[in-house]
Amino acid sequence: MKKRFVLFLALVMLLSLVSCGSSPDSEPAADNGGGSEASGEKKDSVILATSGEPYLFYALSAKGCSGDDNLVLSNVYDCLTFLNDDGSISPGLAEKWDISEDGLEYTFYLRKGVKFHDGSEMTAEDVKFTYDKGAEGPLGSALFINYSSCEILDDYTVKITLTDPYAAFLYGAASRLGGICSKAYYEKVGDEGYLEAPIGTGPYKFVQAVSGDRIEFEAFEDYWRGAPAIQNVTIKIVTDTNTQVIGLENGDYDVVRAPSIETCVRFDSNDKVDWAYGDSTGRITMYLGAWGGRNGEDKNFRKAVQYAINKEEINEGANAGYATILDIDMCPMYGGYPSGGYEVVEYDAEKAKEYLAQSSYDGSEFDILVKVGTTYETAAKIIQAQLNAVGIKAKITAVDNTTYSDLWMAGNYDGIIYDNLCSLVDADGMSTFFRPLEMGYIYTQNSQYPKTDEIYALCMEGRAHQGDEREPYYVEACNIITEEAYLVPLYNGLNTVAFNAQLKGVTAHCLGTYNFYQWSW
Amino acid sequence: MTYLKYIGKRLLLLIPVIVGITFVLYFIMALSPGNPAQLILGADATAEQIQALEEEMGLNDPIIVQYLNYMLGVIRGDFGTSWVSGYNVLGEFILRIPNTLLIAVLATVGAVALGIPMGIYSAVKQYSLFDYGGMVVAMLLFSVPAFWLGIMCQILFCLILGWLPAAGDESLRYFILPSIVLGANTFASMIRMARTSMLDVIKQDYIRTARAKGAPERRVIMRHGVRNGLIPVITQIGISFAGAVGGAIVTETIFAINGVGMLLLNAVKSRDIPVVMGTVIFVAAIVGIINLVVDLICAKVDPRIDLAS
Repeated sequence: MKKRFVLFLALVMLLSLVSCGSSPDSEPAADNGGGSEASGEKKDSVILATSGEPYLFYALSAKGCSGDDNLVLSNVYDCLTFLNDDGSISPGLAEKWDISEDGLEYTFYLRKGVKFHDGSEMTAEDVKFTYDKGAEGPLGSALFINYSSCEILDDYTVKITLTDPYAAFLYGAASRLGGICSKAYYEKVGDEGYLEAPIGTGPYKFVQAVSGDRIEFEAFEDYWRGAPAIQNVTIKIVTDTNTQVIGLENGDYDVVRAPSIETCVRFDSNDKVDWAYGDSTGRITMYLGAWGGRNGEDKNFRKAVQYAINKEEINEGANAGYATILDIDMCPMYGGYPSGGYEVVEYDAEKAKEYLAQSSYDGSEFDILVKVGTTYETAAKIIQAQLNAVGIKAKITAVDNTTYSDLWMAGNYDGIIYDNLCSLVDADGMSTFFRPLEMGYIYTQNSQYPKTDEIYALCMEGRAHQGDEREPYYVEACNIITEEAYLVPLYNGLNTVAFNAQLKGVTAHCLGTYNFYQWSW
Repeated sequence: MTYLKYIGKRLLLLIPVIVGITFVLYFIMALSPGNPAQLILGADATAEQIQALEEEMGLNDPIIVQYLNYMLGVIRGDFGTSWVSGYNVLGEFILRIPNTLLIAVLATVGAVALGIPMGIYSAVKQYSLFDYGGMVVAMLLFSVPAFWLGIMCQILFCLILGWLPAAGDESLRYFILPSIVLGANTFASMIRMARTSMLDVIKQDYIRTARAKGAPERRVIMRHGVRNGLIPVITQIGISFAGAVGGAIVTETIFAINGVGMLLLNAVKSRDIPVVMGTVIFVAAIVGIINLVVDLICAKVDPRIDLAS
């Protein structure tokens, strides 16, 4: 009797083990996932894992769209101008363009024979429609700055007029708002219909999105640059970064968006996985609280902080040395980045101590606000040690997104480490923290820098001029900021991408997006 | 008839429970830091835009009014739309519940099928090698955190052995590892519960009576022992299953399964009140129903439990 019971138990356990293993049918699947062509069949699909979920696949509705949506928008739509990986501009749907002397009129000459996904041809009508509607929408004031009107000269020529000169307009045209939408299709389906089934002239057609899970694309055969090599692309939403990495190593995913730099460095010893990196359009900067009641109200104290920070050490600790160190609060790739003439503050602990001695610092805590779990938190810890070394007692407030933004809006910090990601790859981005109170931005209400008006006025001059003429204004603005020690630029943001080593053409784009049409197995 | 009456009564009792849960939850969400309007619009919003959106979303009303408005919608079957994605909350939930139920069922069934026999055998063979071995395994699985077990399983079964996919929810194969990880805890508690419960029962007089009247040992254990020993175990199964339905957050995150746990986690992170509320209401209802089913089963197994009273 007992024996039979034991036998039964053993059988149950054995059965369960076998069902868990189920090895025979799983092996070929694992091979497929690895992207190998051992079976002789050429793989033509790609699965990309990312944690931030894109929701809006059409930029012109009242809902707008966010940076994460770029991943979808930049593959479904094309812009008049094309933003390269390194932040430079090259022709897109417009073959060429002229800019008038006064910087107010942009004439774009459109490519002929470009088709939308529904087969209709893209013409000047669609460009005018996109710009008129985009400028009125929620993103218009941020991405189509100073836009006034669009005039159709003929089917393939448009003239865009600005209210005031705006040097970064070509970047706006290449932004997520600049993706040309079909006027005829919009008139048929409206905003809701467009959001549900978006069409553009881009290399990939949108197939479907399953909320929280995936977004599917299919190659557009009639793409004007030629049919893309990869037939099907799937964006998988995978929130856990460990899972992304294991999935990539296991062959479940082919590309992982923005893995941490430590992960990437570890991939160096894995010949099945490659990785790439590049500068982003963001500056990682510590802005100092220079207002009411803060230690930073005292300029000597701010100077002490400025000199106490060793950026090399931060870059080594937070980015394994891969990032570019910033001297001013601008990325070198920005249009209008001054070629020289700006002051640079080098790390000097002795000088920091001198400034600190002259300041009214009373030994109270210097509160560094940072988002928890980011590389910036690592940077904050290094800064904390550096400040402690010169005699400033520093404390880190590492909090989740919402609390971070609450404290930021309240101006409740001594130093905030902020990733100033710019959609427009232009020097104009430096003005964001120096917007005057009247403009009504929430975060400026409790954190106005004393010389804001002066700095902002210089930025506006920089906007209004073209080419090299812009530089002196930015140099002057940066020098005021550096002299007043309102902020400490740390390093240029880093975009990373890890991918199956057999996949070719994968690069890190400065906006954190990818051009799927450049990929091939 | 008594059954139907009892079921009706229990279902009605669910209503005040859900109202209580939503009430507390709504207040906690409303009082937690972070302004939803500002989160939606991003950092680059002006005070004016934020005010306009707050007005539109009804965030300027007193919390109690907001709550009542929300509950009025719920009664009409309108659970609202996500503040982040704009998708319909009910649709979002329906999309994800199959995945969550599937791992919950697989995990619980597996744990029960293996754990109960092992527990019973441990009790019958108390102080044997099998008993000690089983207890060690149970203690181990009980104390290992799911995230660690999950990653270790991925490394072993996916990277080293290459048997299974590491993450996703495309086919049944994808659910094997998550079910093991989710079920590990239940499995451990099944062994322990079944063993303890059986040990209690075996010492009872009626077991001695059964043996005295000459029933074979197998019949004594399977018929007289197990039926009496299983009642606390069934209750435990219900609790574990309900927990798996509502809170497989860690497992779903590690294995990238698009389930209810992930939905809830992301919604809480982004202060997406309609999604948090809707999900919690559905999960509360499901858990309530599971508990009801468990009670019915217990009554069936043990005639001494009187549902009518």
